[in-house]
Amino acid sequence: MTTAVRVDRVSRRYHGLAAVDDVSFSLEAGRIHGLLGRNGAGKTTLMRLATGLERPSSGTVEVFGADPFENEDVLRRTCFVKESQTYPDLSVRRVLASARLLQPGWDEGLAQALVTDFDLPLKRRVRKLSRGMRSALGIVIGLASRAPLTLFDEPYLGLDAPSRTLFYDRLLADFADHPRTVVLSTHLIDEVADLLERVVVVDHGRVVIDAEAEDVRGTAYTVVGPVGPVAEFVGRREVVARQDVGAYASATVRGRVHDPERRLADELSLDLTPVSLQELVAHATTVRADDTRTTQGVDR
Amino acid sequence: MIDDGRPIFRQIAERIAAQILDGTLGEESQVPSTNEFAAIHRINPATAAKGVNELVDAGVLYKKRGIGMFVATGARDRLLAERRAQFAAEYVEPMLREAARLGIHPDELRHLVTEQEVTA
Amino acid sequence: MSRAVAVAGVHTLDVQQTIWPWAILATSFVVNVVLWVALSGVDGFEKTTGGLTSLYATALFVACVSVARQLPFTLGLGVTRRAFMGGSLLYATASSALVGVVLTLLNRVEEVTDGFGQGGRFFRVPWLTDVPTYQLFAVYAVPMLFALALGAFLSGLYARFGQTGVLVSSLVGVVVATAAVLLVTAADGWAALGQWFTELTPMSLTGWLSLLAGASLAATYAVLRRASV
Repeated sequence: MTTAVRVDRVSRRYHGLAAVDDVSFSLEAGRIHGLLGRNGAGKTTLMRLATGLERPSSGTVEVFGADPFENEDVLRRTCFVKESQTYPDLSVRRVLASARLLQPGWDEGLAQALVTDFDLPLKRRVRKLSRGMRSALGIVIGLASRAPLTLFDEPYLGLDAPSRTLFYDRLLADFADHPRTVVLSTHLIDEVADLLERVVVVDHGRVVIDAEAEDVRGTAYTVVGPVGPVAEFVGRREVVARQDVGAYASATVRGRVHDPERRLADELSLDLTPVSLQELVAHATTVRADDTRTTQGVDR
Repeated sequence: MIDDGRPIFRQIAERIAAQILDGTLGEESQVPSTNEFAAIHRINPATAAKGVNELVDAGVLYKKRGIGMFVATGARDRLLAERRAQFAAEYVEPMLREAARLGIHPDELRHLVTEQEVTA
Repeated sequence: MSRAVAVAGVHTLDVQQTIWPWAILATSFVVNVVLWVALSGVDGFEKTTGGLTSLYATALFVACVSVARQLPFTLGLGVTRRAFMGGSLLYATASSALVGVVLTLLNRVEEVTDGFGQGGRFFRVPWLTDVPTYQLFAVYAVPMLFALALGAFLSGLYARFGQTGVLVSSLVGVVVATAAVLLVTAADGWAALGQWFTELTPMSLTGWLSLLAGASLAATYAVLRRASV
């Protein structure tokens, strides 16, 4: 059980504004981790800190046990697929050939298979690719690199749903055969919920959830029905959210759904649905009305 | 996977158990690998492994080193016994409840059951 | 070391960097030869040209653009800034050496064929290449290295300081140049400076350029280390 990434009391400030504020967490090697949160929450900054592209204003970042900044031994085992990646003005084929030169773990067979899967035009210049194709290219590079630490920062911009599913499938398949540490940042949480082993949720530069995906899933559920029965069900349970519409009410209760809960809901003719991971994360991350500045504009 | 709040690994375990019960997976037959499960259900291999391991711990599956996972002899009986124990709570109780809600008298209910038996 | 070699390999794969300067040079050469032939009979037409500078100017431009594009790309693929510098330096040295060899050869061909049968001077630059053959390599190669280094430095400036930074640097450059002129005037040193220029030989100029190239490279690494990519 080795640690791939360890972040200890890290802050990253730009002109006084903290993109990341006193953050600490560890990512175990050989697992798929989700780095979740809203836009501008600090996910990209954290990934940049982990890949030595940024240095913390305070605190320490360790990747494979060492500071990643200018660390050749660490970085050659890293592949970072950025949200809007710049490519040299070359054909897809040449870009892939360049990536192959730089990534020691590169598997050309996998790369070719993925190129076919995503229908990438090898001869076309990257500059002339659609947004979705550029994302697909990033995904091909990220997967074919087989880097021991692979980070994907919202890698599916412009990618349609079938292509995203293809990405998840290929990621899982290759991860199963060649386990490595994968960090996936996304706001399309429900799509990847089943892939993730661990989730770290950031909000306004702070970690709000750091747990096994399994422990986060199913920690709340919603009962919907007439006001009376809902109140009876809720009783003394912890209500996280509540909505009353006329004679009906919906109450979100903190806790797990076991047989007693199901039975009670059935008895009271209430609709019981577990809260999805996406909703749980959304609830944990809030938009504060007065905080109109995000750190998004500060990252170049 | 169905999002009904139950842990995914448990859903995997239940799916395999269901297949053993209805005969799809015979005793001593090989079960798909955890990676195959992960791929088919689009879940993390570690999660699939956890579900499989739960069944191994329950004596339903066993591992043949170097070959894979197999259904243990007597697994079906074991699962049947388990299911029988849960049958009343899982099926009979809700049925009685619903019958009560609809105002179906127990005698009428018994009549419905025998009627269904004949047609089944 | 192998990371630097990998970066050099990536530069080599970059068609723009490897082909363009030569393509531009070839075009310039052809245009010049056509002019030589077409305007052969015209009085006073000098068959000497500065067309060779196109190679160096293109190289500077290409170096600037390629650093801008390759740096973010390679850094994301696990390359340290040090390795990027090392690999780029390796590539630049190899390119410059190639330029030195090819141009020396073409210079000799031009000499032997008396300006490609037209009496023209394209590769033989007056004063600059009027040196023994063994010095030609340096005369051609060093300015190339300087052009590449300068291009890389300008790109690094932009990466480090952004648009405003580049503007400020330009202003600073103008201020420094003006100050230098004023200083020389104040010290009444124009005559001495003129003397120094007349005593300059192609090899000593090459020497100065190699120093400038070295300084540009060091400066490039300094800015790249702190650049946000």
